Amino acid sequence: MARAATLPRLTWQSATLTQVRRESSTASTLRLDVAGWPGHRAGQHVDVRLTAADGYTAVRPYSLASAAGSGLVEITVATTPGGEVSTYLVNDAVAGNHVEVRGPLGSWFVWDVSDPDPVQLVAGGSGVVPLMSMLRTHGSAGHPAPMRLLYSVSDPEQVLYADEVEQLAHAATVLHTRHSPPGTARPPGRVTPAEVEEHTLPATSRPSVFVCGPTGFVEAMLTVLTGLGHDPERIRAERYGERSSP
Amino acid sequence: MTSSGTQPLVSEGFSGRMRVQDPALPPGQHLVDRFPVMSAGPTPVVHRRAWELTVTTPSGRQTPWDFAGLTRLPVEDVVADLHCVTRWSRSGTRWRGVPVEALLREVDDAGARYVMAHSYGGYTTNVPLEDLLDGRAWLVFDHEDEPLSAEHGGPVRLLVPHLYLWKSAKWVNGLTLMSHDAPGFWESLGYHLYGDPWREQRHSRD
Amino acid sequence: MSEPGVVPRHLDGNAAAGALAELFGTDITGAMGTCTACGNRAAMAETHAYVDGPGVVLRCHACDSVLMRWATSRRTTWLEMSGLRSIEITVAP
Ligand SMILES: Cc1cc2nc3c(=O)[nH]c(=O)nc-3n(C[C@H](O)[C@H](O)[C@H](O)COP(=O)(O)OP(=O)(O)OC[C@H]3O[C@@H](n4cnc5c(N)ncnc54)[C@H](O)[C@@H]3O)c2cc1C
Ligand SMILES: [Zn+2]
Repeated sequence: MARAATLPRLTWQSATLTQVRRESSTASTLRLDVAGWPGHRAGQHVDVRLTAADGYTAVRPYSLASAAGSGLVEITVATTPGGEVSTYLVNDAVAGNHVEVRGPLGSWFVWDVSDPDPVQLVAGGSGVVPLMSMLRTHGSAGHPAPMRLLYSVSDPEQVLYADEVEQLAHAATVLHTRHSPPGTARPPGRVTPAEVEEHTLPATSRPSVFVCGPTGFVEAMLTVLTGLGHDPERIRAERYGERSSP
Repeated sequence: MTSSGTQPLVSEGFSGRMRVQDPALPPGQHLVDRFPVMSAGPTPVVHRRAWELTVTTPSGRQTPWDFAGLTRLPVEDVVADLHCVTRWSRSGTRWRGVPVEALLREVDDAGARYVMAHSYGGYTTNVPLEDLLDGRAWLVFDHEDEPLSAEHGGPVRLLVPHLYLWKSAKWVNGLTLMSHDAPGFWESLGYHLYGDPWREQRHSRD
Repeated sequence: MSEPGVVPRHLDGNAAAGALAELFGTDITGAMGTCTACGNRAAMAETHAYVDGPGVVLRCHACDSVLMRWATSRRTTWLEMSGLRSIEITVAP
């Protein structure tokens, strides 16, 4: 079969789970072995396809968490109550199981080490996953420009990559919406515009901005960020949806 | 190793959402206990007082309706099973509304055999006129004893429970009578012109 | 833009990258599309994607007009893109 010289063909590939690591009470990181994985860019995702014994299939997108250039294919999945794919991946899947993946996908919501500008990351819940890939890529490259994370999460138990986030020290701010850790002054609640201003790089430093999380969170943050003077052209967003009934 | 496309790889232990085939349901459907929100665009927010619907005859005569006018027509309680082409069904859903024929009674529908339903936001779907008559279709405004929410098509949606649910246009604001059939939003993307769930008329081909 | 009490439910065109790649043979989320209705030019990743219904609908993020929509059955794909005046696809070097 002749191969197209330039266009990478994106088809389903079989993948073996080689490792399942618990990240929180409701989330796991899954490492996949994909033959001939071409490598990915920080921020990209894969489509994951599950097939039942009777032929029924379900497809969902999941962001890649591992650093670009690491050669690792890792996704982190948080359960959605009653969700058919996330509950399987987090609660039932074990090393040795198989899934199919299509990707890496996306050429817009990506950050490359060649970008010299400062970077502000804004995450809501599991929206931190592709941003962690950016942080890891930035860290292992020893990139000189600042990269900061503002991470909104419901409670301390749901924080993904807690150790790595802690090690980012002043480069990361975690704000809790439902329960704060004991001994913190801030009462739990939604991130306010004033907090976004306080904990992010100023618009005057012209950072690249990446926002990811549930659709409602992303919409709210886009309004706040443009209100703070960030150029909409420099903000890239990824909405994870709002599938559960309001 | 890549999958060949002929034999998909089974994910060990994955069964997916419960998909019990119930003989009381149309083929290929399964029951769900919640009401999934299906959307092809942003949810229009129209208040009852601002809602308007226009009935247009093949000759172009228009009759406008508002919410007060609609509710002055005979209101009926309806219990219906819903069948979505994406394969979920709900049974025994309760609605309150006005039979569509009550709005068509006075208009001159000479030559009309089909109706295009129009919605706020631009959605359209086609239904044969006779399927909207004889107490088989309603304009509904309450669901489970509550005003119909915007998510599910409020203030007023069409309810044609004997056809796939995409025919029950949400946020309906127009009924245009036509002498010839024409495809609406999904019908022009291969979905069936009629859409009978019992005959599994999902697509116009396959 | 959204009304109080109504949760916006769209994703981004980026979320449909896999399905788009199947249609176009390559990743087009970075391709620039121009809206027929309002002339807005944006990356396909920035469109608003509605994926819950019988098919996928991509809308212009500036004016909400339908840019592209498609549906698939077992053997056939129907694709309509009259709302997209043009699309520029640049292949990575
Ligand atoms: C680009 C992109 C990247 C993403 N990356 C990540 C990531 O890195 N990590 C992550 O955790 N998530 C990610 N997501 C979200 C992910 O794709 C899934 O949406 C999420 O895991 C939920 O899928 P599910 O199959 O578990 O839930 P679904 O089965 O889709 O259900 C979602 C909700 O709807 C209800 N529901 C839906 N349909 C029905 C039905 N027919 N009957 C009954 N109930 C129903 C469920 O009960 C549940 O509450 C990403 C999304 C996008 C768009
Ligand atoms: Zn437009």
